[in-house]
Amino acid sequence: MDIYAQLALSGLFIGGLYALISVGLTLVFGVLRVVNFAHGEYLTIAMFLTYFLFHQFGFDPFLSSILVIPLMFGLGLVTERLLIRPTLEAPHVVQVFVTFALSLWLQNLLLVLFTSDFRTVRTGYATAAFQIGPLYVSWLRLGAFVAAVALTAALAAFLKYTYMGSAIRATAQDRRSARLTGVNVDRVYAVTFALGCALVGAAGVLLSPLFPVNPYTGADMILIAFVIVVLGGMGSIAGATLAGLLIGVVESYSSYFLGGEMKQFVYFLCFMLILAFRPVGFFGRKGAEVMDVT
Amino acid sequence: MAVVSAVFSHQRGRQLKILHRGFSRRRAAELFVAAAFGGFLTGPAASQETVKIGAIFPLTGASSVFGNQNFQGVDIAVDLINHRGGVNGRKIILFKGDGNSPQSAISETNRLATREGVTIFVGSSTSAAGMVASQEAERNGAFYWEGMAVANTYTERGFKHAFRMGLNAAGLGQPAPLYAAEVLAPLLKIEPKDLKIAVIAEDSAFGVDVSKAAIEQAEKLGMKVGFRELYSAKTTDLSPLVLKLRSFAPDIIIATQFINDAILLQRQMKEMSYFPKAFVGTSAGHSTLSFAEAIGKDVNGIFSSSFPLEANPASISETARGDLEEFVKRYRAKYNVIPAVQESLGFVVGMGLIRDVIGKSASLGAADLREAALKADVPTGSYINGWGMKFDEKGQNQRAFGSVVQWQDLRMVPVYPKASKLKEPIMVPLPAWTAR
Repeated sequence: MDIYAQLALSGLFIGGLYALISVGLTLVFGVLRVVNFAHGEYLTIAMFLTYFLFHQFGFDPFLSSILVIPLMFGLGLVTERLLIRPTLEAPHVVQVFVTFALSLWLQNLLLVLFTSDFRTVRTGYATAAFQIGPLYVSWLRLGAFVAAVALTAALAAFLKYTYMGSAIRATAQDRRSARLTGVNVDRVYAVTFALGCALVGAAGVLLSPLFPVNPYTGADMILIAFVIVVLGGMGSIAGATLAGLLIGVVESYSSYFLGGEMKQFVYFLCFMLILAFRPVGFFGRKGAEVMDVT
Repeated sequence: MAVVSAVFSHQRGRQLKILHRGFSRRRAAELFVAAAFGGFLTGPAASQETVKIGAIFPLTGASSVFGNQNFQGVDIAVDLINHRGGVNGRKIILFKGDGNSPQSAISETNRLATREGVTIFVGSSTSAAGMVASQEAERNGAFYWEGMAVANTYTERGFKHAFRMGLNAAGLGQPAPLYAAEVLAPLLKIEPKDLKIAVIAEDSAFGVDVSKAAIEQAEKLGMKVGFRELYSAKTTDLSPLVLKLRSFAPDIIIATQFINDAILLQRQMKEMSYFPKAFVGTSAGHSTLSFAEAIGKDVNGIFSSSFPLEANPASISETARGDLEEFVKRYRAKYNVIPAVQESLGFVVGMGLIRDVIGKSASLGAADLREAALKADVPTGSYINGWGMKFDEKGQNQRAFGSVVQWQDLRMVPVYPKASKLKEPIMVPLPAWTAR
């Protein structure tokens, strides 16, 4: 019984981080209808920024989030203006190529700047843990999980209760009607893309004390984010959160009972089965994947 | 990379212009004939010529950490030999080829062979690149010198011109169980056959082959491996593995891991306050500086069996001691870090190829290089890591050996075998995490 609880806990902790990586991706897709293949590289950049602030100025990762998240937001604004906006009306393949090229370009840029060595943010509390009964709980993983859930909840609240949030949701539903009702759609796009980057930036900050970073770290993690986005229903934040947690737990149980190398086998099997019965994912809308006509 | 090739092509352009200006047609024709026959020339004309070596390493992508470290080691060997006047008066030019995937290893080998006229290759850090690059080299009639890729099948394909100076998977996997039986068992006061051993490995060909070799060696020594688990090196959570290890409760864990998963496992074992009596890594992550940087003093007490880090100075020749000094000095000056295992391996592999094979070969043709390699009889202790060179007919170096280091005071200290040993092992059995 203890083992089951410990596995569930480990799975939920990592799943919370998966969810945070994925909500930015699904948000950008839901509103801009752009699949951002460079999402993983923004994660890497945030981890390198955290590493840099830690080593140059001794900033604790949680403290440096105050700087890193706005920086990532700014980087998102710049990317949207320079690369995404000019290609929004272009065919889908062009958008795919643009973000894919950006992904490779950023990987190579980071490679030139930092080489491919692994860098670590080693805090004093990196492996601090406490015990509740038979369960071992890592402070850092717990903290990262709580922060990830809180940020996802804050995003949901922002979308629900603010003007900008309503404008984003309106644009996601129908960009032409949104424009007709006076929503500045270009601004919505910019803010949404930047929000996506800021969220993955937050995930990067939270991951950096847990995992070493090199220019390919984000690319390694992004496959799972795509699975989560599709499973949750493309564009659905609640769906991505649920799918993130689910995949975390499935991974944890499968690697214990079937072996570590069976992890991907099992979660892709779940993925296919769920999509076979529910092609739009948990909370997806039919037709969400089709670019709407403006 | 583009910059490097631009520089090379610029240099070539300049050489051609000089040829046009300074030489008569007849002299050019003589040179052409000489080049066509490919023999070594003596005299002033020869000293102008160069030996081209193509280096196929993963310089970008997932394996690029080791790829760059290996390449840079080779690069320093080239620098040093050029500084000493080259081989037989010829300077060496090293061409970079990025073998970040099997496809690119193939295309880069072909590019260097056909466009740059490279006939000698060195590589490859990963078996994925080395296996196919050597095949392309063989097809092009070129000579392939492997240093790091460990796939056992590399030398089993009947290739005439593919040699391996470094270890195969068996050579890399064997020292850990040997060390467990000879040294750790007495220190733990357990008979080798009663040791409980767990073998864990990342699930690429590297981890699978090396861990298999470790298990076979352990069984040969009468030890039973009661637990074996594979996992993907890209994993984000190893706590299920830690739970399993805790319930199996091995005396010794033998682990084949890359860097990030090696770090993750140690951290998660500590989070769950679990540790075995001894932990022996079998490369590649455990003997990198990033590993120690990431987990700090928790690294102390961990063993890593790998390519040798450095030899005991008493067991290497005077020339090798001089090379070692030059290597460390030049590496630090050029790359601004202290070289570790993979860098020194690159250097050894470069020295072996250039000084002891190309330097002794009648020509740069693959057949002559093969003959020179088979003839080579370099005693153990001639290279900075203690190795020597003597090939079997299949092209596997018989004087390469693995060694075991232990992290002591945040530094890797050679503890096995005798030729490498600098200090006695400490912390056996491993003390609690807080006491390291």
